[in-house]
This record gives sequence, structure tokens and C-alpha cells, in this order.
Amino acid sequence: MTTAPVTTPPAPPTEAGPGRLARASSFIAPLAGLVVVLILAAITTPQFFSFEVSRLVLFQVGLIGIAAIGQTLVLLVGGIDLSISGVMALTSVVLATYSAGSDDKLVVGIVLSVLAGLAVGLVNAGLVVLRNVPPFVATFASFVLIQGVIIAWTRGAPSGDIPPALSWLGGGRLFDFIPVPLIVFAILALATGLVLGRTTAGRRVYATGLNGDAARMSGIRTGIVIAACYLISSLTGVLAGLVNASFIGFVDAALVRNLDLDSVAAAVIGGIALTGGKGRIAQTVLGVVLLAVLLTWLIQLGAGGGAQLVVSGAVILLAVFLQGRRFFFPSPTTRATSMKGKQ
Amino acid sequence: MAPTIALGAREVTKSFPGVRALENVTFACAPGRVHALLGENGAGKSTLIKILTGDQAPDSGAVIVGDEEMSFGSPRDALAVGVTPVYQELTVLPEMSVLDNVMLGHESARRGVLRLREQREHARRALERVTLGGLDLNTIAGDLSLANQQLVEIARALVSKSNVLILDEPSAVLSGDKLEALHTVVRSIVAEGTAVVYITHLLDEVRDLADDVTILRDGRFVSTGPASEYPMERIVREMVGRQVDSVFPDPADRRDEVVLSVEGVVPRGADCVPVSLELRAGEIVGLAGLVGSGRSRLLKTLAGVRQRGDGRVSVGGRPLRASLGATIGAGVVLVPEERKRDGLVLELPVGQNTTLTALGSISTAGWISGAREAAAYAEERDRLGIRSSSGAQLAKQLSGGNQQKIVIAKWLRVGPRVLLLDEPTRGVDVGAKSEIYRIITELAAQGMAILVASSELPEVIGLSHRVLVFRDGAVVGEVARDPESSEKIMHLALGTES
Amino acid sequence: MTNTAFRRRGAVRILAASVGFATLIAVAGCSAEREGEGTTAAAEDCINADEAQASYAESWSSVADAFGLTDFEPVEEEVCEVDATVWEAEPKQDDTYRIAFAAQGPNNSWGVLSEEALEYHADELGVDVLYASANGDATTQVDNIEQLTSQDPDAMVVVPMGEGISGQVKAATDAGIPVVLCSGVLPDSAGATSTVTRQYDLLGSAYAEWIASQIGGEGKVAILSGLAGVPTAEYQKAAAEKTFAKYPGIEVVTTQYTEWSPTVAKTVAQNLIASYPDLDAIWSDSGYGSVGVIQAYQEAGKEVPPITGDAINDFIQAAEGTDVKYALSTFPPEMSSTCLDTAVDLLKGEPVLNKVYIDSPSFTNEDGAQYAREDCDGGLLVPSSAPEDLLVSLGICNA
Repeated sequence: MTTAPVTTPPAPPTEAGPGRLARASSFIAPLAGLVVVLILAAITTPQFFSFEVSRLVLFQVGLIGIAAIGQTLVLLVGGIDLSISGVMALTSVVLATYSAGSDDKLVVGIVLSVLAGLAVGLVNAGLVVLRNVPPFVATFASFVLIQGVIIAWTRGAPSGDIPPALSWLGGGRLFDFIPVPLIVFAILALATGLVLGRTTAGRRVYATGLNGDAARMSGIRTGIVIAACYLISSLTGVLAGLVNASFIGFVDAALVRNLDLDSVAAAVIGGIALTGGKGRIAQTVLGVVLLAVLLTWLIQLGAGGGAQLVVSGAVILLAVFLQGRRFFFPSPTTRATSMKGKQ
Repeated sequence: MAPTIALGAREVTKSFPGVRALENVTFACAPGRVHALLGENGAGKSTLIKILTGDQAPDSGAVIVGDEEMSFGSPRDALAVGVTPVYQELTVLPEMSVLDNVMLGHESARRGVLRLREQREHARRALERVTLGGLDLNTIAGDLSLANQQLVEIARALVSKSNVLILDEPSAVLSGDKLEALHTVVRSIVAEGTAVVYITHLLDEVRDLADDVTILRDGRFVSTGPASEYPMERIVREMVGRQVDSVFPDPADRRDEVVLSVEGVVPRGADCVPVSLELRAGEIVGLAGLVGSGRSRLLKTLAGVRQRGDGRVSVGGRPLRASLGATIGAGVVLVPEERKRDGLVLELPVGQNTTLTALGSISTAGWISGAREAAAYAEERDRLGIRSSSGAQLAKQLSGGNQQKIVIAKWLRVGPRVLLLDEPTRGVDVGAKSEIYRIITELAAQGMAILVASSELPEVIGLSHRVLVFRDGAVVGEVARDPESSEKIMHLALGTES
Repeated sequence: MTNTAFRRRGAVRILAASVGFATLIAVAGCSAEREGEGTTAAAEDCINADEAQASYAESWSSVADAFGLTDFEPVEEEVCEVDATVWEAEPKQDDTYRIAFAAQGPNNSWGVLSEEALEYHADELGVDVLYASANGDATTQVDNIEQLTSQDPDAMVVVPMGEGISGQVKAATDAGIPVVLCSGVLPDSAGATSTVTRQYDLLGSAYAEWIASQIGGEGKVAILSGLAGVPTAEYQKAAAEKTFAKYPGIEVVTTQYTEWSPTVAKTVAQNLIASYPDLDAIWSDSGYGSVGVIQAYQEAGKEVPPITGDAINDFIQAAEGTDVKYALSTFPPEMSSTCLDTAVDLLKGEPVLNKVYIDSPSFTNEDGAQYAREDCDGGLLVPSSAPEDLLVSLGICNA
């Protein structure tokens, strides 16, 4: 640098084009998928657009959506929560066992369920944050653990009634059309969207998910951010569990609702990146709607549980594939500067 | 007839974005000779080696093997014509046995029943030459010491029929008897007619071993000739070889107030001499030393990124706890070496990167004010001269220099008292470099205490009031600001001070 | 259906693999064929054929009586007596028989009661039990049977988790250990000495025949099966479809899957109500599913169509006080005590059938209310023949 002419700085890349374009395109795929499924439904099951079936779709949107909100938070910090179904089951068993169907014990029962859910969230967070256990393994282990605990505790036969005073949560409707779970989901989605988009907490979540090292070295306590996401995810699991339990009114020994898969599917279909940090709640909402429509349509078609899983799995794969394609074409700037300049 | 050039380069040029790594470099290593390739960090040695071994293609110029011009598509092509590198970064497969490691790449050469026994014999012979004759062939390579791993790697190179052996700084790992043994091996294969390209920072080695010397500086060829014509003084002079030029603004006077006081600090897990230093308000102290001499490690420890093993640090007279949060709170911040990994969230807009460290200042009860965020970014943009289309542009879309300014900007948001900079101009083009120098000088003039670690000697000397030289994790000397001090620093860093 | 299929639920859910489903369907199909072949081949040396056959027919006619069916013929099945002299033996160790029990494991209420009932009965008979739990998994059970065989018991009772264990069962009988299959079937090639179970065909077609009689052989019917591809569900569904096919006036408008969960069944039923408001009857293989169906219809303010299922306590209580028409039967876990009896009888040289078809109570809404057990767990299959003190000690019923 004997002569140091101040070279003209490189022209700034034209607009923030790629960012905005990618953002728009991330909505296109799920929207297109939704349109396709709706058209298919119109052709194969004309009753799909009836008042009754629409109401069923909205219920599904609510139930899947509540869990998907928590799942989205965990995905945004680069994790995954496979214990949501476990928390749901635990919630109904705890509530039923404690309250024995009595309305008087409802509040304490719910508090106990929340505590149980928080315990699971803490275990997940502890394993992931403190012990660096891969989230997939940690949360799946929690799921298996919860199942084991329930089986051991109830001798393989979980049963009992959910207090009827809660039935409005799973079975209630506004104007006889809008299911209560949908309203719960809408409020949650709105609140989460605002937190993610407008608050320092949201900013920390994105920074942690996109580059944990840089976030940590910027003074963000990434461990706490990640732990909070797992805790919230477990809490949405509790909420989804309450909705599900009050829907049927007693403990479903099958504990079958596979909301882990559904919630991951909804988020991924919507375009939340499994690698963390990318995606917004609006995308999750879109994914939830698409999945709920898809699942209800499959029931209308009379497809079995197998077919439903196949379709969910295929849609997730397709969504991840589409995401992956975006990742494989980094902008030229990224590629060039990623090589070591010197040496 | 033997070729005159076993391995060489003719007018090779190689650029990376913003940096010209090699410019018109010519190099020639003759058969049966040990050719020492010398230069500072960043002089272009590694780039030249990568081109000679087919790892990278030159922008222009040619590689010469056996007097013929070659064009390598990949390292395999180079191996095929007998050019075998032993890299500084070990390529031993730690999970495999010594035998498998030595014979790696040669397994399929022999078949039939005798294959295994023959293999063992080959491996045994190669290991004997590097003084590892007594080693059990079934030992898992990962269990060996670093030095022995390096020797295994060299044994591997011996197994292949090499015309040229390239040794990239083996003395970084080997010492004492092991290094002696390596020298013996090198002499014996050279006697067999093999050419050896030897990269080293130990100038004693050059004197002991080299037949020829080539010196690079700033990506350019400086001189070449028989080792006998290169006394140590000449080597150092030509490696450093330039005047510290006027791109560095003169630092303002430092003040008396001690801002940062470090007493006997040892990074956790490091086995080195405790470091003590004092930093005054407005003072810029440069940290010089070879790569791996412990500069970065010390900066990370001071910044709380790495844990402190021992020692005390105080800021403005108040003791500082060894945690990241406490350190940032006390105003001690680090602009890290790995900008993309540790400094920026590349996928977030530059405005958000700038405010990441001080979210509280742009928010009320957690609610971010867009206007305050924009104002914060605008302030730093004007102060540091950041060129971006808007605060919403993603950090990954900026040039290296502007990215570095963003990292500095985000730390300025917390109002730091001590700014730690690790390789602040790495991967930054020339124009942006001088801007960053100006920024550093101005910040110091405002009273900030600054530590700058850099592998570029002119940078360290030009920026600082004084320079601390590191070797093996310890401060081995202090040099005052003086354009003529670079040779002294180099001698200190290399340990050749007599 | 809270039977063997029930156990697979966890695994199936977690696997979520369509491939697995496809394989199971294939396996189910194959085994049905193999059974048919086996019986005709063995016809000639069938001991005491008439008497044995009569006991088989009995299990069908009792259901026909309970459901008021006039034309209900057993599917062809050859039942013989086992040559008792082959297996008669003194205890191998000391003077008590050691019976190995390869159980499903206590991973659901059915499994708990199944093994507890057997252990309880073993105490009564004074035999020792070598117990191994498969946790509902066939692969685990393969290992279990190998270990049990190596302990050289006098006889073995196996609750089969899947056809994958056939080889180990064969190896056990080859080693001179009589094996009694309990609450499930294996192909004849497994060489089990005797099979004690309730017939899936029987349940599936009995429910279908009852529906046909309820709707006068004409109308729209929905089938609610458990899990697609799980043999226990598929056998029953196939039998039902075969039966409905006999009635040209009956149209099966849709086949859905409840995963044996009231929650899923309720969702499915809500869809049914929306899509088929004029359903005449619902064939369901599970009481759990039917509970969800009743809720869905009641919440929609619609009359519940005639419905079937297994006789779980919850369902009977849910239907109590309503005018829901139903027909129920059971796949009782406590049949395990009969399995143990069969094994011990073999050792004592007493006459034993090669296929013991359990006859369990079947009933309709006309006499169903009496079976409701307010004091017991909702998942209990009623009426239970398990000893009352056992039910109490397990916490299934209150004292």
C-alpha cells in the first residue's frame, strides 16, 4: 500500500432486491399449494365448501396453529420440538387426574398442567442449551420420556374426565361458525407476529437463529433466548392439549394427535427455514391453513391415517426441497467474499 | 537429462476480491535442491503453494513441472506428476491407523495375497526414514502427538514417488530431535534428486538446510538466489522491506489516565506466560506476532469471549468480571477476526446489525422504535462513511470494508471505552483500509483506548503509539512507534534477536 | 378395538411410515391365504373332529343369539384336538411347571390386564411364570422368545406381536416346548401347538350382520376402521365388507380411520355429518371410536345412527340414557388365563384343541345398560371375567 489511492467504493448492490423478492416468493409456493388443494377439493368433494366443512377446517386451523406458533419459535432459533404431542398428552392426563372432572378443581388443574409443560420445556432447553444435545434428539427423548411417565403413572390406561367448564375452549364457537381454538390461534399469531417483528425479543430470536456466534458476541444471551423459545413451545403444547382435551371431554387414551408432525409441517410448508432465523409468523399461518385444508380434504376423501401421513410427509419434503433450492443459489457477493481474501 | 526446473511458476498472478494475492511472481526450484520460500504472513506464500499444487488456478501465468508448462485442474493432477505437498494444516485422518494413513492413496496400487504384507513393509520403511521406525502400525493416528502426526504425513509423502516435496512450515509443529530428523530426511531425499520446497519462519533452518532462497513480499517477488548470499539481516530486511507510508494518520497524543489494566492474564486452557499490560485513554497499542502467537487468544480473553484462566483485568480502576456481559457492560468490546462468523448476522439488514448490541437504546419496554433505529444507523453511517443502499440492505451484500465498518458501528453504539480490534483490515480493499485507519485514529483521539492485533507489520506500526510483540503466547518485547522498527519486530516475533 | 392392534398404535404413530403400512397390508393378505391352505391339508388326521368343530360353532352361535341374527354362519375353519400324548410331561425342574410368558407388556390397559390375569391365574394353579415383555414390539419379542426358550420352560404362552416371531416360535416347539398362542394368530408354519384367541372375522361380520338386520338390508353405511394396514383392523374390516357385499341394498359410502381415538373419531364423525347427513348406520370396530361418534352427533343435534364397537365401559356409559342403538362384543384381555389353562392342560395330557376360540359376551342396547361399571375405569372391556379382586388391586375398579 505504498500508494493508497482511495479506490472508488464498489457500487452498492442494486436495491435490497433479493431480500424483498425472496420474501414475496416465500409466500408464492404455499399460496399456490393452497389454491391447488382448494381446486382439487372442489372437484373431488364438492361438499368441501359447505358451511359445516368450512367450520371443521377452521377448527383444524386453530388446533394445529396453536402448536405451530410454538414450533415456529423453536424453528427460528434453529431447533425443533418433537415433544409437543407429549406435552399435550401430559396436559390432559394431569388435568383429568387432578380434577377428576370437577369444575372446582379446573383452575388448579390448569396451573398444574402449565407447570408440567414448563418442566418439559425446561428439560428440552437444558439439554439443548447446556448440554448441546441436538434438538431433534433432546425433544424426541423428552417425548418418549413423557409417554413412559404417563404409561407408568396410569398403568397403561390413562383415563378420566376433563372439567366440563372448559368445554367452551375445544367445542365453543363464535356466531356458531368461528371455533374458539381459531380465535385463540389468531390472538397468539398476532401477538407472536408483533413480538417477532417489532420487539427487541424478536430481534434477538432472529439474530440467534441466523448466527448464534455473532449474536452471542454482540452481548445477546443466546442461551436464554433459545431456552425461552422451548418454554413457549411447551406452553403452546399445554394450550393445544387443553383445546384437544376439552374437545372430547375426557382423556383420550390413544393420545394420538400427532401435532409434532403437523406443527413442523405447517411451519415448513409456510416457508420457515429448518436452519433457523428465516421466516415470519404470517408464513406459518399460511402453512397452517394449507395443512388444515389438506387434512380435512383427505378425511373427506376417506383417506386413511396412512395416506394422511404420506401426504403430510410429501408436502414437508416438497417444502424443504423448495427451500433448499433457494439456499443453493447464494448471491454472487456471498460466494466471492466467502473465500479468504489474503494468504 | 534432468530438467533444470523441477517445479516452478512463471509470472503468476492471482487476485481475490479486493486483494491482489500474487502479482507476476516467478519461482523456480531445481532438482536435488532445498529451496526456502520466505515471506511475512500474507506475503503470498500459501497462495503460491496452492497454485503450485493445483489447489487453485492462477489468473495468469503458468506452473512449470520438469521444464514443461502445466495446467492443473485439481490437486490430483499435481500429485500425478509427482508434486506432493505436506500442508501446515494436518490432513492425517485421526480415526484411521498409522498404516492406513501412510498408505492412503496407494492402497490399490498392489493387489493379490502379498498386498497387505507389502503394504506394511512400505509403510515401515517410510516411517523409519522419519524416525518413527518403532511405531506400531496399528496405532490410531489421532492418538499420536501433533509432531508425530506431522511425521506420519511426511512419511505418506515419501511413499509416493515424488519429484517435488513441498513442506509448508513443518517447524510450526516439529522441534528438537524431530526437526533434526526431518532435516536428515530432507537431505537424503534431496541427495536422491528430489526437489524440496521448504517454507519456514525459522531463519536458523534456512541457514542449516536451504540451498536456495526466494523471498516474497506483499504478493510480489523480491529476490532469489543461493542461500549463501542471504545473511539473516538481508532476509529480514527483504521480508519486511518497506517504509511505513503516509496512509497512516499520526495518532493524537495519549492521555495519562489508565483505562485498561491487565495483570497476569492467562486464557483458560492455554499454557503460556501470563500477560500484563496497561492501556491509556487515547492510546493505540499494536499487537504483533506470527499467526498462532497468542494475540487473538488474548483479545478474546480480554473481551470475555474466551474464559480467563487466571489474572486480573480492571477498567478505569474497577475490576472486571470475566464474562461477556460484564465486559460489554464495562465498555470493553471486540471487533473479531472472523467477521462473517462472529461479527455479523449476514442475513439481517445492516441497520439491525448496527443496533444489535444496544437494543435497549432503540426501544421502549422492548418495543423497537423504527425511527430511533433508523436514526442510530444514520448516525453511524455518517460517522464511519458506510456505503449501503439503505439500512434495510442485508449485511451480506456489502463489501468487506463496509461490513467491517458495520461491526465497528455496532460496538460504537454501546459507547465503548476500550476497543479491541483483531485483524481489522483482513479481506478489506486498499481504499477501505485507509478509511478504517482513519476511524481508528479518530476514535483514539476522542479518548478511546485501542488494542489492534494484526499480521501486517506496517499496519501495526503505522497505527500504534507502541507495539507489543507476541511469541508463544507471551509478550517478548515492546517497540515504540517508529517506521524503522519493523525489522526489530520481525526479529522479536521470529525469536532471532541476537 | 382395544386388542392386539391397540398395542401397535404407538409404534405406528411414531414410524409414520407408509411403507410399513403397505407391508402390513401385504402380510395380512398373505396370512389369510396361508391359514386357508393349512386347514384343508390337515383334515385327514384330525383327532376328534366333530366335537372340536362343535365348540368352534358355539362361539359364533352365541353371538348370533345375542345380536338376534338368524342367518349367521361361521367362516370355514378346521378345529382339531391336539395329540395330548406328545406333550404330556413331568415338570422339568422340581415339581412345579415353569410356564414362559412372552407378553405384550403393560403399554396399555389391555396389555396390563392381559398379563395380570395370567399371573393371577398362575398363582391359582400353582405354576411358575417366566415373564418377558415385548413392549408391543415384534422385534423385542423375537429376542424375548429366544431368551425364554433358552431357559427351557415346560411350556410357553406367547401374545404374538407380529408374524416376525414365527421362526422363534417354531424353534421353541422344535426344542420340545409346547407353545400356546394367546390373543392373536400366526401362520401354520410357525407350528404353534395351540392358538387361543377370539376371531376377528367373527367380530367384523357379526357387527355387519347386526347392522344389516337393523336397517333391513338397505341403506347407507360408513365403516370406521382403526388404523389402515394394521392386521387386527384389516381382518375385521374385510369381514365386514364381505358381509355388506351380500346385501345389494347396502351401500358403504365411505371408509374412515379413527386410530382408535375418540378425538380422531369425533373429527371424522363431524366430517361424516357434513358430508353424509343421511347415513343409516355406522360400522365401527372400536368403542373408543364410537364414543367420539356419539359426541359428534349429539353436539350437531342429530340422531345417532345404529353403531357397533367393542364393549368399553366409557361407551356404554356415554350411551346410557340415550336411545342410541348399538351392538357390542369384546376381545377380552383376560382370555390369557384360558391360554395358561391350555398350556397346563397340554402338559398334563388333557384334551386340548389346536384352536381355542374364546366366546365372550356380546350384547346390544337392549341389555347393555346393566354392564356399565360406574366404579371402573372407562377403558375396561365389560363385562369382564377377570377376578374382581384383581381389578381392584390394579386400580381399574374401586373396591
